[in-house]
Order: sequence, then C-alpha cells, then structure tokens
Amino acid sequence: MPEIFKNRVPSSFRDPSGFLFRQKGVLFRQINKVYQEHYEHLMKSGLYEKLVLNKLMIAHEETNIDGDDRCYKVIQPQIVPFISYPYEWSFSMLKDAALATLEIEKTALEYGMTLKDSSAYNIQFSLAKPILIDTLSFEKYSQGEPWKAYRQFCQHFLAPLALMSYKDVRLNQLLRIYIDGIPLDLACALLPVKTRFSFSLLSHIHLHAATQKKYSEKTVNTSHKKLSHTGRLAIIDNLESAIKKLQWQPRDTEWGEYYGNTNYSDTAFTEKRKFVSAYLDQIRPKSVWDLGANTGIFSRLASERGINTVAFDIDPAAVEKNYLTLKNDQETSMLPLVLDLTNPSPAIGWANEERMAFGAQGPVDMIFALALIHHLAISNNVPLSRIAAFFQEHCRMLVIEFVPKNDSQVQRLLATREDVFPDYTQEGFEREFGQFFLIERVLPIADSQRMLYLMKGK
Amino acid sequence: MFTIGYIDPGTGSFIIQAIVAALVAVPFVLKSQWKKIMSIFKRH
Repeated sequence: MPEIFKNRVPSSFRDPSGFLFRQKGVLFRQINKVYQEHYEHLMKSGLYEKLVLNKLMIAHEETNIDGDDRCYKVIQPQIVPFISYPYEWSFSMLKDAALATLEIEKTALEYGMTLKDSSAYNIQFSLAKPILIDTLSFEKYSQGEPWKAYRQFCQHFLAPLALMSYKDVRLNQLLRIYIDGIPLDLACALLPVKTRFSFSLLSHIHLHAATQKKYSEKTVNTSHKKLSHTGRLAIIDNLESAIKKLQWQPRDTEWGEYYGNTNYSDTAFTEKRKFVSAYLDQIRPKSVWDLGANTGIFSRLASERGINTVAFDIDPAAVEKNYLTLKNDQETSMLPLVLDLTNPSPAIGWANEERMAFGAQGPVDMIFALALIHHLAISNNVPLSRIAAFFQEHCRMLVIEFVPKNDSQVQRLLATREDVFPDYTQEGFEREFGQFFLIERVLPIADSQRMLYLMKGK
Repeated sequence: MFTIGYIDPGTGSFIIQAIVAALVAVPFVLKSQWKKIMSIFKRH
C-alpha cells in the first residue's frame, strides 16, 4: 500500500477529484486522473491566476512527487496558519465567507467553470480574509446545467446567517450538530414569519425546504431541466443581495462593556499592557492563543508584533467587534474566534475525525489567560489543578493573570453564592500551577490586587 | 466531458432553482442594463 494512504488527512475523502495527505510533515494534494481535464482548464483558462491575484483562493506549487495509481499530479498548496470552522466564526466572518464563495462562483463562470461544492469548510481565514482552500472545487461548466452547489450554499451559509440575523446570533452553533449545514426545514421552523415576506428568503429557504420535502421520495427526471446562463447569474446575484441585506448589531451583552465596568484604573490598564508586552519581547513566541480575549485589546500586543494570534472569546458580540476592527484597520496577524472554554469545539464528522477538536493544532508557543482564571475557577467550579493541566497541555509558555478574591470582579461573582473556594488564594494558585509549570516571573499590577505571571510548561 | 460533481445537489433543489431563476432572470437583466446605462451617465 502506498505510504500516502496512511498519511491522508482524515477530513479529505469525499471528493473523487483528489485528496490531501502529509509527507514528512508537509501538506500535499493528490489530483486524480478523473480530474485532469478540469485541472488543466483551471490552470490554462486564467481562472487560477485571477482567483489568486484577487486573494480569493490559495496558491499552490506543482511537484514531481508520486501519488498512488489513480494519481495525475501532486501539488503543494499554500497553508493557512490556523484552521477554523463556521461554528467558531462571528456573524460577519460567516457573511464574508458566503460573499467570497459567491464572488468565486461568479469569477469561475466567466472562465467557463463552476463550483461543484460550496461547503463553508472550503473557506478558511488567512491574513484576516476568507479564502478558498480547495483548489479542486471547480468543474468545467456547460451552459444549461443548474448550480449543483446551490443546496449546499443555502444550508451552509444562507440559513445560518438568516437565523443569526432574524432569530439569535448563537444559532450558527447548529452547524456543529449538522455537518452539512443547517437542514432547511429546521431553519424554516425557527425563522420568524416575517422572513416569508422577503422574496429571497421565501424562495431559497422556505420554498426550497418545501420542494426538498416534496421530492424527497420521488424520482424525477431532471435531465431536461435547463437553466440559462442568465438564470444562473441571476440566482447568484439574488443570493448575494440576500446575504448582503442580512445584518446583526451586537447589542450590549454581558461582556460588551467589560472594560468600562471593571475596576481597572488607567494606571492598572497601562501597566498590564506594559507587562504583557515585556513578556512578549522576552519570549518572542511565534504564535499566541489569547483565551478569553474579549475584543482583542491584549491580543493586539502580539498581532502588532507580527505574531500569528488567535483571539478566542465566549461572547459572539466581542468576537464580532474584534473582527470588524481588524477588517477596518486591515490587520493581518489576528484571527478572532468564538469559543466556550468549558465546552470547546469537539472533533466531529465521520469517525469524529473530519473537524478537529480545539487544541489539536497545538501546542502553541504562548497562551494568554488574562482576567480569565476567576471565570473558570469560581463561575464554573473548575479546580485550579485541572485548569493548570489543561493549559499545560496546550502551550509552552503561559501568561496568566491571577485575580484574587478581594478584586471587585470576583466579589461580584461571589455575591449571590456560597464561597466554597478555600484554595482560591495566591498561595493555592501558585501551588496548583506549580505542579505543571515553572513560575518564571510575577509582576504585581499597580492600582489593583492582580498579579501577572509568566510560566513555562513542565 | 466527464463531470465530476460528487455531492447530492437534491432533486427539490434543482426544481426550486429553475423556478426562482425564471422569476429573477428578467429583473436581473434589467438591473445589469440599468447599471450600464448609469455608468455611462456617471462618466459624463
């Protein structure tokens, strides 16, 4: 058996056009012979150049590597620094991914090709922009055929965005449960009645769900169903308008006005920034995960140094604000994602191997756990030793802020409950974390009771 | 030509797509023509 079969990327198996594999740690894509004519058209027609130039698709290099007996060619794709999934994205990230997909399809049609799938998992964020990573997503277009990827687009993009906009921003979490996008009948059941008065949503979601149901048990000869080229373009245009119209304003959530309501004085805030910067400059990590990043204020200390930074937060509003800021400022080293640390993204899909669990892409050089420990230890009753063990598994260095009981934030958490946390003290914290880390530095933050630690994993 | 589309496009999805396309095609053409006309005026 060829070596490459053993090193296949587990999520890469559905498409007969080819698959991803690793060899000596490097990612490659085998293109199968069945795809040859489509690949050649992609490369010769100018579509590849156009998409790469417009930063809509990753570039790749052709290689002389041998594949298995179905292999036409092996290419080496450009990699993205961090793989993320639509259930981790904020509203505007999913919206931008949807619009990028439609832009790619429009461009492809100009060059005689079309997308054969429109999965949200084909889009990743690189340099803070959505980009297509599946080079083999295209097939030659013959005029008259309907868009095969239409159903998938409605389920992966339109339905979740409509639900986030019209019902609740947290509903993209349904994408964790439904691996091929939200079923349209479920979307219909959840969307408010007023969505039936929008022509686009009525057609692409409500009536679409109805026709899916009607024809689910029937065999219909659809070979005579023709769609003119204009009809194709009109559908894409209609989907694009529908997506653009969907809005979500982050209302003030629990964390929305966080920095206004904490007991950080300006002095404390400035000092904390100074200390985090000092730790960054001392250690010079190549990558940082900021856990509980809120809108990314401290994450930016890393990303502005050109360090690849992922800013995780439980609050979709904070992640959305972070994303809109980095779009506006054209930042390139940060990726904001929604994450509940007490219930992080699990491995899902076929054999629970298609989408990676949180942490699978680690360990990372450095984790920031700023103003976080009290939420885990007190709000969520996670013992300090377990928190320490979790962090140690995922990073080499840890920058962590200890927030003691006499801090006003912790007082607020304890206001309506029993204090069952006798070990939640600075001594207890250092003892429990000391089992998993070497404490290298500790700096008290002026004008507060908090301490900022730099620790090295054992 | 060998087509290589592998996902299930869905019978119902084909049908609704054809229906909707028929409804939006004419407005789409008018919109495109209107944009072309407006861009001529904008140049002046």
